[in-house]
Amino acid sequence: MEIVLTGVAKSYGDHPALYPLDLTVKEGEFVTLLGPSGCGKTTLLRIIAGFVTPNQGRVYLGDTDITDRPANRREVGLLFQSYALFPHMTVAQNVAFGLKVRRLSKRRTAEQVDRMLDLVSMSEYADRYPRQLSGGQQQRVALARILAIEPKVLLLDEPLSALDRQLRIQMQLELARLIAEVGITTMFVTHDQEEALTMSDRIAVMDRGTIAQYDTPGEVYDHPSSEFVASFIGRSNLIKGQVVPAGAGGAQFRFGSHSLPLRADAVRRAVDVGEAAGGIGHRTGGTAVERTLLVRPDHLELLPATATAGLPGTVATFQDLGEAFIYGVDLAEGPQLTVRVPRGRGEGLLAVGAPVRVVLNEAAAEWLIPAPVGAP
Amino acid sequence: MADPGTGGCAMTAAGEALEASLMEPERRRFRAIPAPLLPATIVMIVLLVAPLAVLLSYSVLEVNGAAVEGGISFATFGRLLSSRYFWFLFGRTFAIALGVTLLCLVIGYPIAFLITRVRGWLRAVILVAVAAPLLTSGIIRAFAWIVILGKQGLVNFALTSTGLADEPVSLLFQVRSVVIGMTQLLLPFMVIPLISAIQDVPAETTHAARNLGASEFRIFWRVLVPQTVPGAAAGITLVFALGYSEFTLAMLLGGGSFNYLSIYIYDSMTSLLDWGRGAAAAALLLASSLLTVVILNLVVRRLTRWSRQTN
Repeated sequence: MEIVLTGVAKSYGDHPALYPLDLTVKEGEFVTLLGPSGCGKTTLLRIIAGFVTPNQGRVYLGDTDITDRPANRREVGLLFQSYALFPHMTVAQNVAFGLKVRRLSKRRTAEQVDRMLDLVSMSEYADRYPRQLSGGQQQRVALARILAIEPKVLLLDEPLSALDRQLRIQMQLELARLIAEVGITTMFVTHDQEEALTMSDRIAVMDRGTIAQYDTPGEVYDHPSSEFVASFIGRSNLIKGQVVPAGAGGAQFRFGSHSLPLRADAVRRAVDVGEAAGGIGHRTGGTAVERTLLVRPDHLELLPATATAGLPGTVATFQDLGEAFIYGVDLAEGPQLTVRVPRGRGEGLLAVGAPVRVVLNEAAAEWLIPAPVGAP
Repeated sequence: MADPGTGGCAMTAAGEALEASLMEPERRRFRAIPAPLLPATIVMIVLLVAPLAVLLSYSVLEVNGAAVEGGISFATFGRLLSSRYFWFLFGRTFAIALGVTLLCLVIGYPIAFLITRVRGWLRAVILVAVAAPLLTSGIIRAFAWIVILGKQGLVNFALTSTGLADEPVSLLFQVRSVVIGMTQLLLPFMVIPLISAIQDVPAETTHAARNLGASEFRIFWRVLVPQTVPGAAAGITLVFALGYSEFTLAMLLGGGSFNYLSIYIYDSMTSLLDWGRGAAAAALLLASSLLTVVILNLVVRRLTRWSRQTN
């Protein structure tokens, strides 16, 4: 079922946790609230679950206004970060809890419990107590317990953060598969951008109580609406400089003594997302405009110092990530750029201090961060 | 070629290590009681175990008054256990202790629950009010209850002046005054372990129950209370054991006609100078108290299997 928030805001005393915001999650959609801790994402989730009362705004489930409905009558399933299993009940009793509340017959309760445990592959653990289970198993029981009551929407509060890395990646896929199988509208809270990118249909990036951007993972990654979004998702080079017109609808980006040609696409889109039409110099033939350019590290390439193309610099840092190398390259009279070189590209390892040239590769999709609303 | 000098040296070192490992069990035996526990252990043996052993020895010796006259004999126990009055007293003491325990549980649970739900000065006030009995002497507390429950006491003044009763109701010097006094005295022993038990219940489990649609009533009985069983058991054990052997309050609030197992032991020892009977009754009091606590713990262990089983 659809979740619609209109003008929802919450503050604790003088401290605002959420500024008035609107958000719609479509039927069957998987939406992630992504942001650093303290950005208000958990507060937003708790408002929908009914554990936190908003100071203003309304919460709708489908066409029903549930803002004033108590938490135990919302039919909104919440999966807790700590799983919150009942330690004194067996796995089967945990899953049956919500069904007993709904006064289902013994037979139908047992059937539903079996079905749910089967769904999460925990049937053989039905008589165990939560303490006898691993973190991943507890997670699955908690999911079975929530799905058993057939909630209208599913809310997940950082459910994977307590698991170690290997298990987390495995559970990401499993959760996504299970949720797709059930086909339930889902809202997922995380501070892990990787999780957000792999699991969601849409991501709402949150920053200090506001939604900074609400879009598909690809859009959020390629066309972030602000420097915050750009730096929060993925590695990024954010370069401050000027956009200057360069003939035939093109533009150049100048920073320090360097200049990069900008694809017409990057310029046009920056205008599309609301930048003042006169902002980009070439449109009006006016003067240069101060902007920030986003270049992802995997859109840059290193060339030998003897090459003529690219910007000259020296290797300042080096990191081996396994599947790739990360170089920090100090540009002559310019910022440091992060360059990601996939392992096995053939270039030998470059020592710190080695002179190189940095160039945009063919896949490059550089992006001009739109000016903040209200800025010139 | 190996240097014979270093080889010999290594041999000696190995020999020393072997010797040290052989010595180890010897040293361990000496450390059976860790040094830091030694003073407390001595105090316990001198001040508790030894006097108790002397006292209990009177129950299985032939005694006349306070003088040991002969060898081992269980005649005193036979005399006690065939006495109908002793069995009546035994039952009454047990029933009162049990009743007080239940009252403390019923009154203590909401108080403990309240304390975990309020903050600041209110919490401090309730805590102090509950713990106050521990801060005053037993005799003063007993006299305070006499003032409250007496014929001209607070309760009767309230009853007669409001017209709820025509003449003063007798409250003092009977079973009910003993039960009231003991409940107040022992309440903190129930409330304090309950507070920590309730605080230990993860708040998220109650939130999860609410999210699954449970009413506050169901959350309390099905989620909160079962998780506090270990704390309740600790409180029940303490209150029962203390109430079962309580003396001062039983003596002062019970009045002259009221008898309790502890009073019976006291009378045997001091008034009748029958040390054998007093010791035998004390042994039975101690044994039955221990037995009750053991049974209680077995029940609790069964109820809280979930808290111990791990893979």
